[in-house]
Amino acid sequence: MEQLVLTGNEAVARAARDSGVRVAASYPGSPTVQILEALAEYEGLHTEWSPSEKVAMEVAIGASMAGAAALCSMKHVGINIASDPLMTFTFSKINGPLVIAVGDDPGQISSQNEQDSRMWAEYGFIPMLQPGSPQEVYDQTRLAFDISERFHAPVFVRLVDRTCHMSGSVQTAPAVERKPLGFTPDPDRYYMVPPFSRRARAAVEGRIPAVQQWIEEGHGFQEELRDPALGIVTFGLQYHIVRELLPNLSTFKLDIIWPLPIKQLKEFRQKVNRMIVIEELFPFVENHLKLARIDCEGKAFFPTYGEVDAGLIAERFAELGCREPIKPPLAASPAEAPRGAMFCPGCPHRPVMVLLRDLGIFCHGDIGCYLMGSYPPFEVLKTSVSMAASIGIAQGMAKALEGTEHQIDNIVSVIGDSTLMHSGLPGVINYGYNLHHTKLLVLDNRSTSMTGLQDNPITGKTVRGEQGHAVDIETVLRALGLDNVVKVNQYNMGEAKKVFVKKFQEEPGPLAVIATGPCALKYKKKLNYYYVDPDICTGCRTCIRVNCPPISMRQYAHKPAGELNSHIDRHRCVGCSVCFQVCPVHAIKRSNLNEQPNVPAPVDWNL
Amino acid sequence: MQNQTINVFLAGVGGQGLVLVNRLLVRAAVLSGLDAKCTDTHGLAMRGGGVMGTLRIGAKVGTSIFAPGEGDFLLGLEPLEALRWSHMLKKGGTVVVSTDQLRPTLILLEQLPFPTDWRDVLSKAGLKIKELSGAELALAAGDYRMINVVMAGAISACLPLDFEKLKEALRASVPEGTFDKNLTALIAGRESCR
Repeated sequence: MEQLVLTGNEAVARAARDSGVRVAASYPGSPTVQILEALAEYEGLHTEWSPSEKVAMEVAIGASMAGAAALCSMKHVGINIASDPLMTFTFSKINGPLVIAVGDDPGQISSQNEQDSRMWAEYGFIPMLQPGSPQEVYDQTRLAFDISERFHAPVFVRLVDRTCHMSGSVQTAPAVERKPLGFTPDPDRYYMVPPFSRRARAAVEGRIPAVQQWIEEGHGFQEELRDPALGIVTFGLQYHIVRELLPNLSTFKLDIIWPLPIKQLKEFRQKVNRMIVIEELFPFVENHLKLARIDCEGKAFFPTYGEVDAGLIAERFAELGCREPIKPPLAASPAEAPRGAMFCPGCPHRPVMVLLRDLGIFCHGDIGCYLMGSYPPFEVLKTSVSMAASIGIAQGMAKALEGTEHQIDNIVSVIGDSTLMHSGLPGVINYGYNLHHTKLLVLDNRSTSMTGLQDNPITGKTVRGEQGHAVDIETVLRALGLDNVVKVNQYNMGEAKKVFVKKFQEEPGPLAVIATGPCALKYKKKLNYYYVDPDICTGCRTCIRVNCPPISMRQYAHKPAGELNSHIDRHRCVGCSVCFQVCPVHAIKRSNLNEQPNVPAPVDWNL
Repeated sequence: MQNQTINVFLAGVGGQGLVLVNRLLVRAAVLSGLDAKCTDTHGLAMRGGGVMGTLRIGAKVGTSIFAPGEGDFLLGLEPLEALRWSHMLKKGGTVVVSTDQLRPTLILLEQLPFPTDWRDVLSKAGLKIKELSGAELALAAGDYRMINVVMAGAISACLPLDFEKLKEALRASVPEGTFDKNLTALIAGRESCR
């Protein structure tokens, strides 16, 4: 037993390790990325970044079939990808315990949509727990393995962004060993076609009632009676917020959120005058209580989307007269200018987006850092839906508009290396098979950057740093039917422009361009910085429109007030030269690292 | 929330290393024998975007989350971000802020002005301001990127943290071989905020 300071994600990892996990697989997605990264620090188990969540789930299923303890972690949209194997495998009486840690994202802090993974739990006969602090994450993940083993069922641990990234003290419990039991063929459990799968379907019917009965014997919930005027049914983060803001209210805290201890909830209802359910997203608990004829309220007070945070809870219960309203000195944020994400200094996507914009090429976007190409001042990418969707969407749009007055010539799908490997290859096959003429731009930055610079099948480096096979994108594209494939180094913008014009505006598709600039952050790009000579600068703002964080328009002392010239913050410039290449008057110059350039500094604001 | 718990809101720009500050302070609080929890935003906001975190330190802390208007301190690694989150502070709350501007896209594109009157807005709301140039102190300590550690030092002067434990937490939080210059940065921030 140890006392540690862990994040929620690290607590899942530690609990999985202490539960004797032998195989853990994942695909990086915020908010659950660091679960696998933390697990990879431990010895004695296999950890992998699989090419997609579906493969990760299959790897975990294989381990479970072999009688080993397995962990599979992913963000909520990952479950969509992994649901194909999961929603059939869940009919099995599983062998080794399988825990799936899923990170939901109410409020879309780092996701393209909002989903409530509790739906998968009910739909898939899968028990689910939801912790609200690092300690609870640890304890409940341990419990999840026990439940999975006891009921031969996959079990979900549902996290949300705030729980994944919450740090706090964790007291660990003694570790257990779970040796693999071995695989014994049994088609009723492992061969999911009729007639076997029909028997499995019938058998799984008893699973959730059995788990519910066990819960109702006194597991996975806490009733805390205080003031009987109002009882709050809640779980996870919201439980702790309620305890802080409304310490006198009676609470019924759920640790296991599917199935529900209906018996005890009925009893709790008898002990309080009024019952309110606090839950983020769908009225899942509320609906199930109402189905059980338990009189309660919930979504009458709280929205079905976004976060239910401390401010909202304080406000609602002040309206209900349960506490004083908070009266802050500032009622709302006084800042007007938003701050959206930007391409990093030196990012290889910046020269690409500058060229696509300036050439007016019609592009579909995908999931990765390059999605910022949809923001000002680029606004190059016109659609984005889900992982690798850009390829099929471009193909369908082109076919729909072909020969009409809306026809778009030269539609380009812009996709990163990791996303292409994740689920883009079937779309690539579709170019040749169904005679599509759209075009592909692969941004091969040799990194899964948006989720924190993970390696992937393109670098061939595993999560543990071993060197596996590195996939060559050009070879794969050619093998799948694209004959016209060319590589370009986009940092040479003159060369890249020629290639883009030829391939995206002149030659017929299908074809692919692979832009090879590596991620500046992952590979720590740091070259001689660039600086502006304000006496050459004409204030044309061409460099401003490459939107590099260190470049701004500034006032210099010797210039008339209000006549601004460009400036580069040398401390943040990594020397990629994109601004230098676009400057029409050669006002931007490369520094010599040993001597300070002899140009004046701006005077309007510091550094 | 409970009287003895201190609520800190942290705000900055993706890439500045706010997460390190938050974890450093939680570690230092736990090592100092207190309970503490913190939360940060990650993911899409990784670079250039706004990032924020919350930290609560006390005898017993159930969650790191607190409501707008309940913050005792706001640590701003950049003035626009400090302004953005100033409604998280309670009456009489204190803003500890690095004055070095990092301008977001729409300001760089000159489509929106930088709120140069941020000090007035905060003062008029009755908030206290402790300002320093994190970049200046970080550069003096040897590395521009240590603005976050300078600012961790600055806020630490306001919190009930044992300095020796803070040093111990710093050692566990920064890359090997960089402890000495990070300690210089931490102390510079701490001294400027006394």
